[in-house]
Amino acid sequence: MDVAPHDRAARSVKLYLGLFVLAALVALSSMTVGAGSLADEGLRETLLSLRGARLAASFLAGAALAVGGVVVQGLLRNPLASPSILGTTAGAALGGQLVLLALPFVALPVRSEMAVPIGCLLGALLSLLALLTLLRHTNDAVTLLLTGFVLSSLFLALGSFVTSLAQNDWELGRAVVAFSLGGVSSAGTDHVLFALPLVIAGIGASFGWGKALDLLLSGEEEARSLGVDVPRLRWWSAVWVATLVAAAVSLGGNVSFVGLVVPHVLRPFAGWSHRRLVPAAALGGGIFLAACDVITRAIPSHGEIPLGVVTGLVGAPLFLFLLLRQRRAELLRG
Amino acid sequence: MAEHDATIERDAERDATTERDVEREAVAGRAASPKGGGEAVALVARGLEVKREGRVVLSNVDVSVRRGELLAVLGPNGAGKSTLLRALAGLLPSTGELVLDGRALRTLTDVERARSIAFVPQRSGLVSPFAAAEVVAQGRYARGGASPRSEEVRAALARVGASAFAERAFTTLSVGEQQRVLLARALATDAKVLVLDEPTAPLDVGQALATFALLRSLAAEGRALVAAVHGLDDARRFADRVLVLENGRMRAEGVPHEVVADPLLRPLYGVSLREDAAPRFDRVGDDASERAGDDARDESSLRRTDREGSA
Repeated sequence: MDVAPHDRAARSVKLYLGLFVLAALVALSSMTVGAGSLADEGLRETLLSLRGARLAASFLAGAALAVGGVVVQGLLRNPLASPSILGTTAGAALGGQLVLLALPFVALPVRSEMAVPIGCLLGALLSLLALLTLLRHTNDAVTLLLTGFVLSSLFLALGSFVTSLAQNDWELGRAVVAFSLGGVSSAGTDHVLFALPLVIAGIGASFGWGKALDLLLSGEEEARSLGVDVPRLRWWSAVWVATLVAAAVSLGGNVSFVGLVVPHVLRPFAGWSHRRLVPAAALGGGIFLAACDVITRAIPSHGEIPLGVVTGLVGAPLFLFLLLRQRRAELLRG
Repeated sequence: MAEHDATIERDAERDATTERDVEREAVAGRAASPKGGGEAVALVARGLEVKREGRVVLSNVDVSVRRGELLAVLGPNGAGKSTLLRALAGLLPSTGELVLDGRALRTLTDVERARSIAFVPQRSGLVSPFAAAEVVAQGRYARGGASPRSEEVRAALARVGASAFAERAFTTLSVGEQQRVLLARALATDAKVLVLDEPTAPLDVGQALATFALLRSLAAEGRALVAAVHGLDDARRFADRVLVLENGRMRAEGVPHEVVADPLLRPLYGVSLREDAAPRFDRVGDDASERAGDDARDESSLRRTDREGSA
């Protein structure tokens, strides 16, 4: 794991070159793969517009979830943490569902396209604050995962309740179910333009807090002794993770494991420093989710496979592998 | 004889008055010279109390550390040494007066506090494989940050003899090497007060001596140091003053040869101490050439330890 500075610089150059090449390949695949042929001149413009929005939505959602994963992992000092495992994405999805349910009955002061992301933001923020409050005095991996599991189950159960309530109205029921299933197939330019500033701000802020998060990896006491205002760091990290997750969920629904898989894959190349990891995770997360979206279109089936199914199939085995490896390391340490 | 005794009493009275003046002046933010040696009180705590889960774990402790001075905190396990150090460093909620360089420590922001007082834990909680130089660079956080290759970081690493493993991952270093990196991180903060929690506990004899020599040279440069010390002999040899804790309360405070003595410590540790005094370390302010010689020896012992450590 020892890396000399010149090796580290060369590794960074290689990493970003690789990521840009992958991004270009995924973008090309995303524009060309799917039902309908670009050779058809009548369809070409429409297809390019739809696929462009879809590519942008999946890329932004992936970038947001991956960076959110990096930040919660730093905040909780645990590489097993990610917004989906901790219940943050489920909280955001519940917030979005509640807003959808309330829309027909309440005159909101904002447009409906904006109301759903705001609901997601509040849901994500509340779930993260609940988690941080419950985990204030422990950093034990099992407690962390169990707490995340409980919160996630609670929010998913409440989400199912909301979905069942919505079935009284056909249109509302469809909207809530479509939102719950997730996926970027219905994402339009409006959604992308609304989410874009949130994702950029979230990534920028995560980069900005990077040095403080590096110090927090040594523990709260050491971070404080070196000058980090830990309560402020925890609060703002929660706010920005919630913003990122809300933007991602409003674009692609409850997509799991991106925040876990991407930082894990990138750490051997980018290292543990948040200032190096955040930009790489933004690119890597975008590439990963855009590639998963291409897969949903490429696999022949009746209709498209939901995006969350593909990320789950990749993420769940990796999560198990990481969990077993961490437990083994803990056992070896005694 | 009576005249002689009276002189001693007058001297003692004058010293006590001066002590009070020093503390008063420290609170007022003024430098003071208690014994004409140009020393100034850097950190003062009065009536310090720490509660944990409603239980008092540290009670009514008075501490005063001057620049150029190494205060050793002694006491059996569970006496409250680590609690006292964390409270002094502003890392634990406490009550009582706590003054750092003339300012109430609790009114300082985290950044202001970190610029003035550095805390060296016994072990770091860091589990991520940052390079040693990156860990040391974290010491510059409160001063706007620094590159792991900056002059400040290089100097701090060199000072503790850790340059050889600057690029190695912190988590792969031996406990002794990690301790040196943590000390370098504290030096990189440029803080004038250092609080160290048993800095030599994980070290072998050679490394421990080298570390104490380094602490002495840091004190000689005008820093104020408070260190929890396990070895009674170390406290007697290297400290200027010793504070003894027992069950969270001050048992004694004073110069080492008076405090580290059998009548006082036997009940605490349950063992008898031999009274053959270990060789005293030269005090701060002794002959400059002698100190220079000591420093040269310190550096050579550090280098020797370094080679051993990195072998």
